[in-house]
Amino acid sequence: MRIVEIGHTGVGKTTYMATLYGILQNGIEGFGLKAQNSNDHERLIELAQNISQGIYPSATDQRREYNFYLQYDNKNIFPFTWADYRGGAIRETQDSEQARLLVSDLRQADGIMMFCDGHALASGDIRSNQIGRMTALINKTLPYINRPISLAIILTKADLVTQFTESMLESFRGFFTAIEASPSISGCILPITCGIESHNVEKPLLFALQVAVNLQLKYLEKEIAEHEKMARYYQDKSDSLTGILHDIWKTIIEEPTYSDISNAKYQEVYKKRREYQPIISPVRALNKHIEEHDYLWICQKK
Amino acid sequence: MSKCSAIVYGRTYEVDFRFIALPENFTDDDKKWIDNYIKVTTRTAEKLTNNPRFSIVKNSQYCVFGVICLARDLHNVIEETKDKYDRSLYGFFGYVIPVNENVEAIHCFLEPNIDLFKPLYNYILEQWNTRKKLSSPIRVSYNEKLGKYGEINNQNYLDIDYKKIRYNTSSEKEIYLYPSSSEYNHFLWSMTIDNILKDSVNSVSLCLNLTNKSDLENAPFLNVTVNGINSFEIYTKESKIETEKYIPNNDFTEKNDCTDRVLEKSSQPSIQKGKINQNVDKNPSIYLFIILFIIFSGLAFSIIFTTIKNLSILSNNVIIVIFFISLLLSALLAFYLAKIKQKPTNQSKSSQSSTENKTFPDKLKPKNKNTISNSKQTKSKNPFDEF
Repeated sequence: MRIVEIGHTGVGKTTYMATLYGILQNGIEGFGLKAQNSNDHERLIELAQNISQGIYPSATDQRREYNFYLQYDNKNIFPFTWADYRGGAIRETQDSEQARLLVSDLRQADGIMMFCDGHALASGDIRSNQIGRMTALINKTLPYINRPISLAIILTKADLVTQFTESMLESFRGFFTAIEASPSISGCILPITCGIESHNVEKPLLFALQVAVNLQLKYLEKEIAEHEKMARYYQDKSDSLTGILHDIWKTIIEEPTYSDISNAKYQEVYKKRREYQPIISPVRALNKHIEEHDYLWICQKK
Repeated sequence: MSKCSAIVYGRTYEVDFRFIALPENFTDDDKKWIDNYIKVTTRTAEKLTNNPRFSIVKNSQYCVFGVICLARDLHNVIEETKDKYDRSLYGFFGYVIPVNENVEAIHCFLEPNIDLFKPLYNYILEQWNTRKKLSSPIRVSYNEKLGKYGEINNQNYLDIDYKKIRYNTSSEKEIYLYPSSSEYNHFLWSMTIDNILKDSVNSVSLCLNLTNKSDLENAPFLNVTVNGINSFEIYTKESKIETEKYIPNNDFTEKNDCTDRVLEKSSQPSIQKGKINQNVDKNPSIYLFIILFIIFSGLAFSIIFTTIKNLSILSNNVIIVIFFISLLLSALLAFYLAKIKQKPTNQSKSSQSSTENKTFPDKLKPKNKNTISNSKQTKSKNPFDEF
């Protein structure tokens, strides 16, 4: 699973990641976050501690990839990769390596987090948010997205905004229409605050992962069903008279018999069920979280 | 006279990171070459406070002496060292010396000294108020002035116990790591200068004071001092860091491929030689079959021989035919019984799975009876059918 975050420079992408990491160390509704690399863990914890004291991270100058586990009940459940970009990447042309990587990442993304400065939006500063560039980038990748993905529009610095109004989102109008028209993108808008006091921080990540983990569950179900179907098919064949003769011959020439294949398929079923079982309750909890909390939906694809 | 040019990579008040200054003759390849080094030194930038990272990089054409540091280490006006979002700026500031033209300039860099790089901050200030990223950086000529910096005390230069240090000049697949201490920094810096002056090696690179080993991913450096290690180590570039555990990414493309493979098989169920999964477990009931076969064939022979004594009218050929038929029947019977015996094993595995399945909520039970096409057509309120 791959999460990609984009946003203009200074919008708070790295701040968000570090704050989220810090907060999810204690778990929220059973969910936690763990970096696969111990150096990343230490770095993010340190950044989170600084942010909680009002010291914000330095500007990011290059793309950096983090590998995480979404944990549930302190167990590593979903491994995922999170690509953090420097803000300037969205302003660069296709000649730039960073811009090329960003486009490639967006095409492969299972969840996209699009960051906008809520305070700038509220004060009518559309230019600094680079909304046009971000939406153009995502629109460009839409034709390549042929699987369900989630798109979270994250309005940062929400503590500096007295009230969010519909008119603030006017510049997104065309983009919302494109998302609604897309058969595969579910989108929502999430105002967040990161700093000495943080709010709503876990929601964008849980939303971004929800579609992907449900899809993962669905694929496992399909695989189990198909392996079972194949196992039964070969078992039935091996029970017939021709199957018995076939199996005798295959046994003599030391090749797998129908019965062997059926057996192997049952083993696959067993293996897949073992993968399937531990993710059921986290997926249910994630779905419950999304249902019970107030997410401002742009569209939710059924 | 010493002639140098400059490289400055950083950001200004409003515009994001980019090359702000480059030597006038730098090509795109040269830019890529130095960019690969700079991108390593800028990692974990929050650790740059009181910890500038010096580097020396040389190829067949250029030798670059540089430092990654906070802007405030080079410039005193604090307002001009922070960006629009009040974040402390940092950047790479370096001098470029053409290798074949003037070795003299190298003598200005016998020790890592941040003061040498202070004048380069002027390039940042020159671009400070720009609101748009310029299409190309400032092109800096090889200017004599750049090389004239301070008298550096180089008494300790070349006073090195070379036996203490292993210096990498050849193995591009490895990085030699040393603890980040003033002693090692001094030794390695001096050895690097020594190698450049000797001109015996084409490619030389050193970076001092990196934060941790994970910042070395895809690093082109050959020698590095790094925090968090206590003794000399060799980092192999192919393998990731030992502490990092790679977990294969179960993305949907893979899943999709997997499902597609299953679907492909189900549509072509016939077995083809050599295409069967190599990991298929051989049926253990073969041993049961052999035992049963021996028992049945033994029984058949004993019956035939005791009966034939009384039926001497039968010809030898008929007896041979009866013998083989009984052998075949024994084999079939044995195989059938062995198969029946095996069935419960499979079913017990399957039932074990279905026992687990019983704990699943109804909505989450796999729809075993549905084919994929069926499940696509099924309309359900199941939340997992949304996709």
